[in-house]
Amino acid sequence: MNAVTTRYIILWVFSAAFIAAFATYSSISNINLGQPEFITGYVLFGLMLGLATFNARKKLSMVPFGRSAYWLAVHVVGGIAALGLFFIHTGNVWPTGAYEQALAIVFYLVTISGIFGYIIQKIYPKRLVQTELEIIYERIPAELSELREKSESITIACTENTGSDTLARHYMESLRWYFQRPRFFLSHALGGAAAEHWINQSYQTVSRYLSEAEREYLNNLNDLAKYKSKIDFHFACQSMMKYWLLAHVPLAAAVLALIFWHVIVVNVYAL
Amino acid sequence: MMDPNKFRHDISRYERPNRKFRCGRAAEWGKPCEFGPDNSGKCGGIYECQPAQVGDRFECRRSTLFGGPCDNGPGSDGKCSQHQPPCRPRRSIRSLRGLMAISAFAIVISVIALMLTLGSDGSGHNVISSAGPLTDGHANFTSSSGCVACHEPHAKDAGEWFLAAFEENNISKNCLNCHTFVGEPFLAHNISSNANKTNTHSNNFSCIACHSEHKGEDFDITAISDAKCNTCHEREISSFANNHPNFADDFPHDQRTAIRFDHSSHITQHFKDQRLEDIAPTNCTSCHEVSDAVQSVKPVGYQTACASCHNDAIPRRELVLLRLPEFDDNFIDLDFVSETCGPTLEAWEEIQDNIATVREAIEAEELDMLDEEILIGDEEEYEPVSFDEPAAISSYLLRTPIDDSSEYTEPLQTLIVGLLEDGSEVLEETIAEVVGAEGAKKMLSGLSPTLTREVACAWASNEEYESPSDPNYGGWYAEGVELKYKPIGHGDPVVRAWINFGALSVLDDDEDVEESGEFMRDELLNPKEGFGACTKCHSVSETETNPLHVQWNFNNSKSRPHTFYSHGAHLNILNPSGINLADPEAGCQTCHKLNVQANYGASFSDNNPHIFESNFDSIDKETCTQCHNEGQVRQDCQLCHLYHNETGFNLRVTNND
Repeated sequence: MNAVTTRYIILWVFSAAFIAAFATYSSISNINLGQPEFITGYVLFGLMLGLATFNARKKLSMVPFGRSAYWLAVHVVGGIAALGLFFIHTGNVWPTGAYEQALAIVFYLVTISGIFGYIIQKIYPKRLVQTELEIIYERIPAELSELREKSESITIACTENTGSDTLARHYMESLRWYFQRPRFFLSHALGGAAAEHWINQSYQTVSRYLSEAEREYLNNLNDLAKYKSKIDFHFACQSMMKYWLLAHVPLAAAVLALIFWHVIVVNVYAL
Repeated sequence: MMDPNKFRHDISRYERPNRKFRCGRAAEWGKPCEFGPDNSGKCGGIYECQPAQVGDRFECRRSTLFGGPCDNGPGSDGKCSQHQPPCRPRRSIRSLRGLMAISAFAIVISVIALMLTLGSDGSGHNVISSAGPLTDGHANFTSSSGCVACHEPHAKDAGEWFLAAFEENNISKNCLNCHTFVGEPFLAHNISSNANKTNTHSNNFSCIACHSEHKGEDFDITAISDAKCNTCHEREISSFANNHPNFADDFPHDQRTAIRFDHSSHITQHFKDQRLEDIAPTNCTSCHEVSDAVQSVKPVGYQTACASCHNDAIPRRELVLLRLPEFDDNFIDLDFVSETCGPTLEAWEEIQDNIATVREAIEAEELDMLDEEILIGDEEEYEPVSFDEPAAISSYLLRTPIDDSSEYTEPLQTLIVGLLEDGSEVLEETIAEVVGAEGAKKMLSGLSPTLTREVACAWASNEEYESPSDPNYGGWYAEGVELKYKPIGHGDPVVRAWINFGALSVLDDDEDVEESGEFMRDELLNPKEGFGACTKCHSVSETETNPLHVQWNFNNSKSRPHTFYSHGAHLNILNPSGINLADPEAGCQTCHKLNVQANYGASFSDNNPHIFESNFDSIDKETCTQCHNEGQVRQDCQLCHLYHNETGFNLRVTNND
């Protein structure tokens, strides 16, 4: 068992005990005519603020606040614990008040986006390793630009050297679209093979009309297309791993704003 | 695998993903420039290089990545000769994320601020402050005053509203604006706590500890779990069938009935009498109304259930308000009586005799004898027309002993003269001194001043009153030496007023008066001979506040205010023997078994309502557990027990103006 797994196990156990303790407290307090929702509410509020500090930790990477991996583990387990505490606090899945319903919707969206992010962060890196290619996300546009230049050079060279424009026309009608930008995003993100099928079909479609000399250029283009497919795969997966935060973080900010008002209202009207 | 040297520092761009902006050409999948946008988002790739001044010349510094030094080189002003149109840089993902997070926070705050200003009636504020719809019962009552009906801070201005967050907010006290309870509202069960478990709430319960609002229109705000009951009660009850204590030996008949009705004697004797065959009830529902049965199955009422047998007895029990007693002497001014009432028949005859005597004397010229026989008149000794005792009521009202004529003669004669002068007014004033004007009016309702004056004239003249007619239809009448009231029938308000008067008449500082009060009370409230025979059926009880209290109406038992049983809910259910509980004979007897041995009548021999022997056997727990058991019918605490003590409302509960 590696350190990460051990770390998560400890945190899950701690989290389960935390939830069980609050569920028990809430039940006993409720039976004893207490109002456990005030305590569970403030604990949940504190937990949400704690979870939000993970974003601040990432921005303050120069300050030694502990390893980011630990923070991530705490954030993941704490997020799931927050969902449990939310159910304990509200006593049901769907509140009755309009404002509380809005709060619940945003809270659920934050949780769902977090779970989604956690899952893809677990799955995609392993699949990216299988491509045997490493590329920095920010360099993908430059890399694609370079591939495009290479493919156009090969096509021009083919026309110049063989005197046939068959490959050039095929490039203009088909491959140019492919090399222009990342393609088959959804297929790559979902683990499909649409790009490979498209490349093979494109190759077979034109191959029979080409001479041996032209086919050699086509093979070079096909190699570039397959290479680009791997970059496209990286682009799709890395985009997913970055863009889910565009939902998660703003929703978390919205939930905190909603919670602030909720806390004020509860203190004014009920406490 | 990608060539690891490809991104060597000297042949590749240095990526800075934490910058706010990224190259617009790269964003459109073109070739990014070498420099990228600056922090303000301006394109940095208009020129391909930044020439360096070496001595007095400028040298091209274009990177090898972009083709190395160009042929033209920089101009004399040091500007790169290779330029292109600027791109439109895009925000980096990181920057975009931060911007969206701040925007999301700001949007929520803005929406909240906007909602606070929406609607002149604060409807926007209500939407973002309400925890949910109120239950049906509360929704309408708070519709006029709104949230402030329960939440006082809601009506305050913004500053005070916010400061209220730091002050204690006792919502429960506002519940009492509408709800009432008999007893202390915040004590357990609204009574002094008899719970034995240590519980911090026992002396200061808040309503919201049990009742949660804002959970929707159909939410059952009164539902309480058994576990909550067990929190306070020392004896924890897991279920009714399992360990609920057995019912008391006298359950549920631990309180004397308001109406004295001996079920045993009626069912086993009277109803079987051949003479009553046509009118005797045939089963329980002949007398008990089951159509609206709830906690009690009320009797159908006197007229339906009792009148056919008992109606004649009521008018026979008359009230004697005044009785002309034996007087020691006559202090009444006869001239005044004669002036007020005119001559009586006896006096008129005497006058006629005297006139005849005077005529004879004149004719015989023997006028000297007139001094002796007429002018001087006969000094006759007073001979009372009555030798009875005065009525108990008049003795009590005049505060005179009933058996000492020397004491009562003068006051009673004064009263008679008063009646002569003012009719029944003096009588009403005398009674009003004891019970007040309102009570006196009720008690003498229908008493004619003329009758009173005529009676007074007769009695003042030491004569019996001769009634012109028989009192066939009830009401006030006089006969001989008595002024009486004959009950009109059941429910006669005059009778009820006098019985109530009798019940309240004992207490007095004067022992003699108290004694005469007791005497009068015994006469009025005597079950056999008392006025209207009321107390034959209506039980009389000692109370904490009054000497006695007559229970005029059938009333529900209040000895167990926290227990509830619905007869109605049990109708049309089969008992374990297969008999429908609504069956007027066998069904009722499933629970109510007649106890013919019980001495029911003895319970009413004194006025203690707590001493009672019912006509029915007590009901034991097993009767209920036949159905209310594990896996059968509900057996939770709230099914039979009520938490609060006699709930009510302060406010109107209807919308009718």
